[in-house]
Amino acid sequence: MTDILLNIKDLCVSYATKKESLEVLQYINLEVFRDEVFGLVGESGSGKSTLASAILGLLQNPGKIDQGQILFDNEDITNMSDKNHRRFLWEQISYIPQGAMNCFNPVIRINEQFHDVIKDHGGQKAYGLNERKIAQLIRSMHLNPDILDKFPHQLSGGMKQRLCIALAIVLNPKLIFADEPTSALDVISQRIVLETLSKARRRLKSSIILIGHDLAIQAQIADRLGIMFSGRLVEIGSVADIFYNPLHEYTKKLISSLPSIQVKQNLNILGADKSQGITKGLKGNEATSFIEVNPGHLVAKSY
Amino acid sequence: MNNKLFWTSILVVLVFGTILFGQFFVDPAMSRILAADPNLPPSLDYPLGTQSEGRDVLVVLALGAPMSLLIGLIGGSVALLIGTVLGFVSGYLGGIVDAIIRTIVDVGLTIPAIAILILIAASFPSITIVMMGLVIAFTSWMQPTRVIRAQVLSLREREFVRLAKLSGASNFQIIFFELPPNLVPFLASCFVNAVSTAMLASIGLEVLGLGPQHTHTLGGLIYQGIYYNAMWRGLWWWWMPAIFVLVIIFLVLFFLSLTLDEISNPRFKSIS
Amino acid sequence: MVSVGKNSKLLTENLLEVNALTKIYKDTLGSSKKFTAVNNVSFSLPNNDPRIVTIAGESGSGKTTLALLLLGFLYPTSGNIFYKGVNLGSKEWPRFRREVQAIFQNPYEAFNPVYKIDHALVLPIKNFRLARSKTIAREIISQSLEAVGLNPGQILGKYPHQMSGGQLQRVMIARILMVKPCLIIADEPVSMIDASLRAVILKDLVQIKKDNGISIIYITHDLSTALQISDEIMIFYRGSVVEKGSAEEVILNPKHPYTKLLVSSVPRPDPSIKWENFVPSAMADSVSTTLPNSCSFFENCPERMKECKETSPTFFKIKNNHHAACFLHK
Repeated sequence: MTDILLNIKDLCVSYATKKESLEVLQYINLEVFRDEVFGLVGESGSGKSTLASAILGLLQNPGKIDQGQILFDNEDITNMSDKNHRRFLWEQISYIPQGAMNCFNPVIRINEQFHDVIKDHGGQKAYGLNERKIAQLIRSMHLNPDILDKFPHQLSGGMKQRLCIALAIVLNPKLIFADEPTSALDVISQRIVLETLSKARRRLKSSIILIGHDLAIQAQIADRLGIMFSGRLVEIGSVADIFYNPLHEYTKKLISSLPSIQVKQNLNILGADKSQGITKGLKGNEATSFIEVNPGHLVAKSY
Repeated sequence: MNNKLFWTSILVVLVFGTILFGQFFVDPAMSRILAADPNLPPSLDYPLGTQSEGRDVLVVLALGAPMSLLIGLIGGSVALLIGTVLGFVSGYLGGIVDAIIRTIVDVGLTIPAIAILILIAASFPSITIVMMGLVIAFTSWMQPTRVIRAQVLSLREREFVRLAKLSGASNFQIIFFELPPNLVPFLASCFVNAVSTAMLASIGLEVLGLGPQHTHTLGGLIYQGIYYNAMWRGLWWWWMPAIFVLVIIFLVLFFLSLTLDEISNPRFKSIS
Repeated sequence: MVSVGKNSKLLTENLLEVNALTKIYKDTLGSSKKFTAVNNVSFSLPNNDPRIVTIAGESGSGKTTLALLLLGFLYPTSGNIFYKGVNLGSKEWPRFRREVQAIFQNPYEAFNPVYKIDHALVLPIKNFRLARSKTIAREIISQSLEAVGLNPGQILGKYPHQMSGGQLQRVMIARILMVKPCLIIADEPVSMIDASLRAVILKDLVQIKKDNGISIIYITHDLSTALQISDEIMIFYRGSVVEKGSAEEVILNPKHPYTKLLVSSVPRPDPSIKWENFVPSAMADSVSTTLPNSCSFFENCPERMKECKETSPTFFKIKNNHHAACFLHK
């Protein structure tokens, strides 16, 4: 049993519309290991959400996978049938969507929604689950189990997000996608949600792919990072590598634009060119080959 | 979506074009009393036969259908105009003005329009097309006012309205220049509904015999049919074509309304 | 100290003076449930001394309500706002309208979607009579766009949905430069902008203050940007100001328990500095309103005392430019 949980090889995704397509993926090569948090960082339009959709098998028309392979636990899941896909999703890979409102049906009580998910995707794993275990799960989210009787609208944003996490881990998946799970939350709620997620993951020994543009959050939670720009991965490395030794131009600019809360810096130091912020001077059509500068620290060969 | 709008527009132009211009291809003389032998079934000479007064049914239909359309247009336009002005003013200004207009609208909505229409129509010995349109508008402006007011209420909280105020825009500028273009698709949809409502109301009145007496109308044709017991007498060519034309008109208006709804309400847009 | 003369004009004129401003929403007609959005807020901005003042708070803290009150889009339940000595409730509206401008959070909402963005730039020129002819107007518009780093040729004639959020926000700033206000209320101006562009836009704001002598009230939940650009800061919690002072003092040396919690919860963009000690979950879950005569943070304060429940704390001085509303610092 290798350490590699998710292996993506030369993945290319395109959207066939009349208008210009924004999110396109070109030759994505990526490995996610067991028991780690992998942060996928990129700005809007970089393709990170498309990558998540492609891996989850949720790409909608007119998006499609042009070429490449997605291997999960050494099994090829690139073109799974719908029936297998249902079982597979949630049991093996689950998903925490951006914005907790997308998680819950507003007219159904919370416990019913848990039961629905278990019934639809449970299979083998569902047999062990009962009320007591679900209550235990809720408590591990630092929530009161009597929340299960409530409707979604009776809960605050932070509470709903933690319930989303509970929903995503109820079947002990090996991999969890968290797509900007705290973007709508304020600072204190964000901290609680992320720490809860982190603790839950460590307990289950699953992996998380944390998608987001906020590098500060990634610094707190992630083990390794992948930087995306314009549909390509430009750098991959441990969180220390990326923050202390960024190699790619884009990564360097991202890191240097982070405002500090420890020192009052002159904004000039952060300097970004007025006309296009960070992305000026960077071309999107770069070569796809990577150089391994240090063990585990890869950067795309630049223009 | 563009495709749908395109084909619906083609349909509208074809159908309404035929109705509006059909009247110029027939001989009005054949619509007079005893222009032909009465109660003749359809034939080459009289494609839709004749009715009991000796009028050529096809000619009456061709002359009457555009009239119904016209009443619908007049009634619908006037109702929408009143509804737009009152809806915008009431929705945007709020306060006393809104309270007054809203009360009138709510009271007006509870009074059955049919009763008023019958009352008014019956008090006049004869009524013209324009008058009918206006009378109908008078009883149907409340609904557009209400829905437009609701839209304006939500629009006025939008940030671009605040920005316009910060740019020194007066209430007048906001009501007449900032808000309306945002509602054009919605207003178009309202217009189609208003026209349909007006046509329905007018046909209702005509079928009861309260329509214009000196002009042919679609409803009038049906009224005559009832009056002369066309159904019992098996004179199907008298009342069936009229109803058929009515159904076509309403179907077309319905499709138009659906298409406009899709445009104006982004939530109904299908994923393209 | 406030001295009030005739016709509700203040004798000592500040640019902006807010006194005991309160906004209470009633639940429904006749219901006794009330929600206090803004609770007894007072502060002032001096004239002829441009500065950036941050109002920092989480969602639900009342900061947006405060912004709307300051812009005159909402009316206070009690308290006063004086702009250059004139009470906002009185009739000198037009001058106020031009001199106090705003930047809104969502740039796509701020522009009227059916008009090209030129419309938003032309409207103030027309209404405030900033140009005598169309040629001069075009000149002014081009200059302002160039001043924020935009190319007029690429920007004018486009619709809002054809442009990026960052571009739109900069057009907003160009518009403000044209109008030349005395005060800008910036309500979360960069929270919906990509990280790479935030620094650019914030730098523009600081430049505006320096070059044009315009004061800015910067409303945000992001303490790091607040630290970078503000002179002073006020921390909001549930409608009340809990700590205020110079930005460096308050953020680097917080004294109020809420501020301390807030500052420590900001994720440091540095993998070697992680969050310490998990926070009790009650924090995120309480949605009740404050009891009238107690500290607004009482329920969730890790250092609460008996006194905090019985009286509402006033401001206690920590340093010359640093005050906290907490009995710990009496």
